[in-house]
Formats: sequence, C-alpha cells, structure tokens
Amino acid sequence: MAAGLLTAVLVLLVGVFAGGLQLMQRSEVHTAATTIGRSVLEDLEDRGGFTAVPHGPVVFDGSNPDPKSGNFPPDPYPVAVQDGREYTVTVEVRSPSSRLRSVLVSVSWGSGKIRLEKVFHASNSVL
Amino acid sequence: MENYRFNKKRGMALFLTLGFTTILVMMLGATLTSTSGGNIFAQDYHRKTAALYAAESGLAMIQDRLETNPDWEGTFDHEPTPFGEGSYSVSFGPSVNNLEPPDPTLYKSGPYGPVAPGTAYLKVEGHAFGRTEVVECIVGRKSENFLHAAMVATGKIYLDERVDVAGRVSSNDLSLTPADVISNFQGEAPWGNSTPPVYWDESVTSTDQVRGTIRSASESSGSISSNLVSISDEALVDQAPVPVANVQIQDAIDAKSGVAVRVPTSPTSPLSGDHYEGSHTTVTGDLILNNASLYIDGDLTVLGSIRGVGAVYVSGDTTFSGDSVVIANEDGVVLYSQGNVHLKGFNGTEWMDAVTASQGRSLEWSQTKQSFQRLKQIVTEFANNPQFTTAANPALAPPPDTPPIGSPDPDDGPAIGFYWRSEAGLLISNLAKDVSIYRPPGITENDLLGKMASVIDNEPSNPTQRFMAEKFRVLKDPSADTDNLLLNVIGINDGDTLTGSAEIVQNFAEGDQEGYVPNRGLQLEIFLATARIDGDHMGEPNFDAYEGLTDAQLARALVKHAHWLDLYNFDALGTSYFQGNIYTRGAIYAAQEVTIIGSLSAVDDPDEPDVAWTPPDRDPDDSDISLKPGDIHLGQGTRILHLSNLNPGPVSTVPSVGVVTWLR
Repeated sequence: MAAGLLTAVLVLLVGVFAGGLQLMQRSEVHTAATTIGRSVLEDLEDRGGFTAVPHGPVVFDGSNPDPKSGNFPPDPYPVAVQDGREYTVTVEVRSPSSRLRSVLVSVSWGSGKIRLEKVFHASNSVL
Repeated sequence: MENYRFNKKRGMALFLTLGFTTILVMMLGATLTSTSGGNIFAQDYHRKTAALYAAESGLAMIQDRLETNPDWEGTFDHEPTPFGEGSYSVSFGPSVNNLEPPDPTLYKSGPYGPVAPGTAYLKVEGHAFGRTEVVECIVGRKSENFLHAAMVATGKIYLDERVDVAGRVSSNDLSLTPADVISNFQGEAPWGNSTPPVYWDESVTSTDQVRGTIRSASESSGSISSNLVSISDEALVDQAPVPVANVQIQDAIDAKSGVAVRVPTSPTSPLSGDHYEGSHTTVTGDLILNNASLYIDGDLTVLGSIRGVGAVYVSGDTTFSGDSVVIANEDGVVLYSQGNVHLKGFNGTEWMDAVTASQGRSLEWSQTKQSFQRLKQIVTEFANNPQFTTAANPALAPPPDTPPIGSPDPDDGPAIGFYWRSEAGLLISNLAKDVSIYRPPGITENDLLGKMASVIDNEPSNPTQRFMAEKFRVLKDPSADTDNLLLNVIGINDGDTLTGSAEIVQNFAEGDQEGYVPNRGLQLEIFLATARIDGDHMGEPNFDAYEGLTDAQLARALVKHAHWLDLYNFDALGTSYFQGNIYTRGAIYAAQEVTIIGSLSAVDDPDEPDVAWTPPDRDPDDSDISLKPGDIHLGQGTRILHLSNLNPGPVSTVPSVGVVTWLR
C-alpha cells in the first residue's frame, strides 16, 4: 500500500513539475513579448511621439517582412530574438485626426500573440 | 517476539511513506502556487501595460477634443481606442476644465488644489482585458503656435523669383525673431506633378533668405525643395500639423448685418467704427482704417490699398493693391476673407530700369541704389549697436586725418566739419546736392535724387508711373515746399544748412508718422550722431536748437530709420506694402514686388469644396498653376517681414493643448 501510494504521489509530482515548467515558460514568453511591444512604443515616444510616426493607415508586417520607412518602425522590428525564441513584430498606424496617430504593435510567437495600442497626440511631440 | 519486531518495522514504513508523501504534497503545492503565480504575473503585466496605454490614448483623444473645442466638458464611458484594443473613460466632475474661463483670472477648484486659468485637470481611466489604469495630469496651452510664423498654409506653398522672409521685433527694435514658413499639406501629387508641396521656383542668390524654420507636414523627405532648404535656418519634414483657428467669417459678418453704416465706395477720409455692406463691393481709392471694422457680405475689390488699424471681414474673394506708403509704427490691418485673396503690386523696379536706360540715366540710377544701400548699411549697423562712439560706429565718424570739405558754416557748430567728412554725411549730401565736392568714394555722379526725379517726371502718366511718383511723394514731409519730386525723400534735403529743432528728431522717434520723414530728418539725425561721436553734447554752447534732445531719442530715431530704409529698398524700388495679417479660407496670391509686413494664413475649410482658383489677372511671368483653398503663392519679389509687435497682432490660432504636468 505504501509503495502504491508513493508511486502515485511521485507520478503526480512529476506531472505537476512538467506542467509547471511549461507554464513558467509560457509566462516568460508572454512577459518577453509584452516587453518587446512596449519597447517599440516607448522608442517612438522617445523619438518625438507623433512626429516619429508616419501618417496612417499603414501596416508594417514583420512576417513578410515589409521594409522600414526611414526609422519606422523602430527596432526590434521585424523580428526579435530572446532566449533563442523568435518574436515577429507587426506595426499598424491609423490617423484618427490630423493631430492624432494611433499605433498598434502586435508581437507574435508560435501560436501566441499580444497586442498593444497607443495614441500619440501632436501637442505632446517634441517639435 | 520476532513477529512483533517485524510488525513494528512495517508500521514504520507506512509512517515514513506518509511523511514523505506529505512533504511531496507540500512541494507540489508550492510548485503549483509558484508557476500559476508567475503566469498570473505575466498576464497581469500585459493587461496593466495595455490598460495604461489605453488611458494615455484616451488622454490624447481628449486633448484633440479640447483643441477644437476648449470649452468641452463631455463624458466618455468606455470609449474604444482607434484599434479597439482598449477603452477609456473621462468625465468632468473629477476632471476640471479651466482652459478658457470667462474671467482670465478665475481659478477653479480641483482635487489637488486650484486649477489655473488656461489649464485643465484631467483624470482618464484606461480599460483593457478587465484591468483599469488611471492617468492624471494638468494640460494647458502650449507655445506651439504661429506667432512667429510669417506664413501658415494648410495647403501648399509656391514661391516665385526672389525669396526674402525675415522677422524682427518692431520698427524700434530690429532684433531678429523667427519667421517660420509652415505647410500642413499631407496629401499626394501636390501640384498635379512632381513639384514638392513647399516649392521655390528659382536658383539661389546671396540675397535670398528664410530667417526661420520651414516646416512641412508631408512625410516625404523631398517635400521642401532643396534650394529653399539651403537658404533657411532649418527645414523639417513630417512635422505635426500646426493648429490654426477656424475663424467663422460668415458668422461674424451675419452678426453685423444690422449695422446701418455702409462701406463708402469712394472714401475721402479714414473710416472708424463698424461698417456693413450686404453685396459685392468695389472701392475706388485707398481704404484707410482708423480703428474700424468692415463687414462685406460678398466680394471686395479695392482699387487701391488697405491700411491703418482695424479689421476687414469679407465673405467672398478679396482683391487689393499694395500701398506706396511704409508705415513707421506697428499699426496693421487684419483681413479675414472667406474666399481667395489677391494682393497686387506694381512692376516698379523693371519700370525704373527701363526708363532710366531709355533716358540715358542708367549710371545715375545704379549709383542712387548704391548710395542708399550704403546708407542703409551704416544706419543698420548703428541700430545693431546704438553707441555714439567711433569704435562702435566708425562709418559715422571720418578718419582723423580727413581734410574738411567745403566751407562749413561756423554757425552750425564745431561738429559740422566732422559731419561733412563722414561717409554717411557725404552720401546724403551727394544724393541731393548738385556739387561734386560732396561725392563719396566710388560715386561719380551727384544730385542723384534730382536726376531720378526728372526721369520719372519725363515719363507719360500710367499706373506704374503714378505709383512711383506717389511712392516718392508720400515719403516727403508735406510741408516741404518744393517741386522737386525727390527732394526730402526720407528726410534728405539739398540745403546747405543743417539747422533744425529737437522736435524734428523727437517727433519721429516718438510719433507714429505714416509714410514720411520730417523735413531734413535723416540729415539731422546723422549730423547729430556724428557730433556726439565727435564728443559734443546737445544744448549750449554747441547746439542751442537741440536742447532737451536726449541720446536715447536720437538713437531711437536712427533705429526707426534703419527699419524704414530696409523696407524702402532701392533694389526693389517698385515695392508696395501691406502692413497687417491676412487670414483666408481660400488661397492667397501675391505678386509684383509686394512687401507684407505681418503674416499670411491660408486655412482650408474642410466643409467647403476644394475649388481650384487661377487669379484672373495673374502675372504672365508666374508659373501656370492653379491654387486650392489653403494654398499660398508668392510671386515676383514678394517679401514678408514678420513684426512680432504688430498691432492688433498676428492672426489668432487655436493654441495646442499639451501636458504641462503629470500627476499620476
């Protein structure tokens, strides 16, 4: 009975460890993807915000990859590599008004994807 | 006994197994907690970031709303962002809008203390993936406007021939200020061909300049032509469109439809107060405003110029000419035209070149221009360093060993010989006197202004001849009793004496003369300046007549003259002037040597159709392009001098609303 109990617990433990490791890896990937998307938007903010973004609508698909227009989109477009994993970056721009530019950054890996959107206003740009 | 021991060991194994299992289960629990917690943290990091960006995006959207409607106090409840990745909420309750209080000194109470006039406290919630983040900040008017812009076009800008765009503080302060050139154009195929939206159709010469920044909202690196880039202080593409006021011109006119006083078609005196005209109007002669506001519901054609202080509202097209008068103060007109604006000048320079050549006076004409250029340079140098010392202004003091010229009248004081030997004194004398001993170095002809006067007098009367004659005449003191057309132009006299009074200088320094300099004014200023450099002082015993005249007044008069001589450019003698600011919802076309002392704003009305316009009597030399609302075309030596202190001030804009302080 003891042997059976011990075996069952050990099997369960191994299973949980394996699942936990998988979950941890997924967390790291999710965090890395968010950090990549965020770095694109923060880089645009540092380079003037509105003035660093072209007129929309326009799409830069990192999976093609579409060529950059000047310095847009900023690195790590089109592809970022972290811990041996490849993340594809896609950037879309819309212009809701002449003084607004909205940027959507999608970071995808394997079967996963995160998306971050930020609107830049001309008045907050460094002229 | 043996069995008993054996049984005891088996119980121990179970106990050990249970204990070991308990430890394993605890480890299992810890592992589960750790991994799920890590995953939750990772998920939350994304949600939190997305929600924060949603809040910042909401703030940007609200800024945009406040720029077009500074009184806005609406509510957004989970309003989606443009891509729909999040939403934002704001309401004025927690938020406080004090951007445009009825009383400019009024503070409103906010959660962190009073909200200053001209600012707003905004609290914006961002929502994404079930998470909410909040940003709080103070927004306010930013300095980004075109108070320092010489021209703003929501459309394109086309410059023909010479380009001269500069800015200064006032006629009394020649300090340079930025004179930016701004195009908000972002479309494709600007002129129907590959011509860039901000374009100059000429090659560079040494006199071409844009003393400011050229800003283009077009993202193309070639949206500003390279020759313009080379003459500007800075040229920037892909710039944020500058917010410009949406002046409701028709509304302003409709609001005055009950005004009974009409706009005279042949005005004989300056206009004051409100005037209304309900149909197309043609005014023969100059339209002179003395704190007047004119409202015309139709086209306005002025067969003359518009000048003075006031505002003109026109619901249709506006056509008028530049003025022969240079105004010495900061008065100006604001013209609001719903339709296109056509500002015409005269081909005076070409005309002078032609008539002097035909009358064999090309050399005198050339030396007249050269003399004024040198005189302008000397006075401008003084304006830049207004000190009465030889070191600061050597051109106003002769070399010490230069012999006296002529026989100075001892009654004029001991400094008179000093004056006659200075380059400035000789230049002035030679322009008006028919005596060869006063020729300055490099000048071979004398009585230059007299000879130019006879050239103009000899020509048959036509609009350009009359304009040129008027141009010289208005620059004279009306009290000067002489038939010589050019005598006393900008205060140069052919008399041998330099006597006058302190008032001549004081009135010019302090007054608001329009179009003329008092008799002998410039002569006296130069003479007294050289005297001061020579060590004399005003009053007894040297200069009785100038008792009470201070150095500051004398310096101010000379600085004012520098401003005037700069505008009264003999290299472009046909120049006419418009002093004020022009705002149109159509296009602007100016040509034929017009100097605009002020600013231009062409602002397309998005609610109106983009009707192409070709000025009906455009100069045939100008490029054959049609203009659309929001476009500016300056041709044939059109010059802009942007005065920062112009009264009643540059065209108002909707100032941008930017973040002043982040609170959270």
